[in-house]
Amino acid sequence: MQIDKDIVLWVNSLVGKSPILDRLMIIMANDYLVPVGIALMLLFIWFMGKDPAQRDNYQRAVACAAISIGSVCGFVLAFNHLYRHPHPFEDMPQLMDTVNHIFYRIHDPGFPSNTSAVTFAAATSIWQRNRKLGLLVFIPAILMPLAKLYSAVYYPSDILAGAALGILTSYFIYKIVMPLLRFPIDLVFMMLRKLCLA
Amino acid sequence: MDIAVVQRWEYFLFVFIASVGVLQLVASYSQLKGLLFFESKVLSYLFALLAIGGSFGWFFGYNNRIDTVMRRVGLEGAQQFLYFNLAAFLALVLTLIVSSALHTYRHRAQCEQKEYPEGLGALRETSYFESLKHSLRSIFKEKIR
Repeated sequence: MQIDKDIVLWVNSLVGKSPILDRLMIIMANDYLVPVGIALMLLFIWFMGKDPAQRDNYQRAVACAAISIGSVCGFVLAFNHLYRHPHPFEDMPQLMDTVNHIFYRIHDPGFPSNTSAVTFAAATSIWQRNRKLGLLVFIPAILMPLAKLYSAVYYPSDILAGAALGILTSYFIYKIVMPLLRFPIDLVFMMLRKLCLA
Repeated sequence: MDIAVVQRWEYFLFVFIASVGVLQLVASYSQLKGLLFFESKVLSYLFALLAIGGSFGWFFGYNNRIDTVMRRVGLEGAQQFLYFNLAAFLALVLTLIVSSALHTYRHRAQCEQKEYPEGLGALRETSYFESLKHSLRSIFKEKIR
C-alpha cells in the first residue's frame, strides 16, 4: 500500500535528527528489553495481590496472558505461511542505512508483526482484569512496535494487524477459552494454592 | 571481524538475577515476609533495585552491548521463552530455599504460628517450607477423615 510506504518514509525522515530519539528507539527496538520487561511484570503481578480475592484476579490475568501469548504466536506463525510480504527495507533499499543505524535486518516475515501481536496480547490480558496495571503494560507494548516502525523493519499495517490480532486473541481467550477451561484452570490453581504458590 | 552475539548463559543469568530482584520487590510490596531475604523493608527494596538495575545494566550496558551484540540475530523467540522460564523458575526455587532458611534461623526461638491461611497468604508470616508442611499436612488429615 502506498500509504504504508509514505508513513514509513515520513517516520524515517526523523532518523538521525535527534540523537536522544534515536537512542530511545535503539533501546526500545531491542529484542530483549521489552519482552523480558513484560515477562517480569507478569511475574510481579502473579505475587502482588494483597488478599486472596485480589491475588486470584491477578493470577487469572497472568494465566490469560500466558495462554494468549502462546496462542497468538501460533496464529502469527500460521498466518506467515499463508501470506508473506517484504519488509520496508526490502521494498525501499534506501532505508537500509536506517535499519542498520537503529536495529538489524530481521528475517522473520513482517505481516502481521509478531512483536505487536505478543506485546498487545499480554497487555490486553492484564487490562481486562485491571485497567491501571494493563495501561502500565501497554506502555512498552506500544513503544516496541513503534521503535520497529522507526527502524523501517515493519510497515504500519504490519503493526496494526499484529496489535489487532493480539487484542482479539486475548479478548477471545478471556471471554470464551478461560470460561470453557474453568475446571482445569481451577484445578491447577487449587494445586498451586496447596503448594503455597498461588 | 568480531561476530559476537548474545550468549544463552548471559541471557539466563540476566533473567535469573532480575527475577530474584522482582521476587524480593513484590514480596516486600505484598508483605510476604516468608519470601524476604531481609527483615528490613528498606534493605529488601534496596536489594531488589540493585538486582534488577544491576542485571539490566550489565546485560545491556556492559561493553556497550546494546550497540554491538544486540544489533545481530541472537536468541530466537522460542529459546528466549525456554531460558526465561527456566531462569525465573530457578530464581523462585532459590528465593524459596534462601528465604525459608533465613526465616527459620531468625524465628527459631519464637512460638509456632497458630493459623496458616491457604496459598500465598501463608507466606505473610511464615516461611515457604513451613507453610508447605502445614498445607500438605492438612491435605493428609482431610484424606484420613
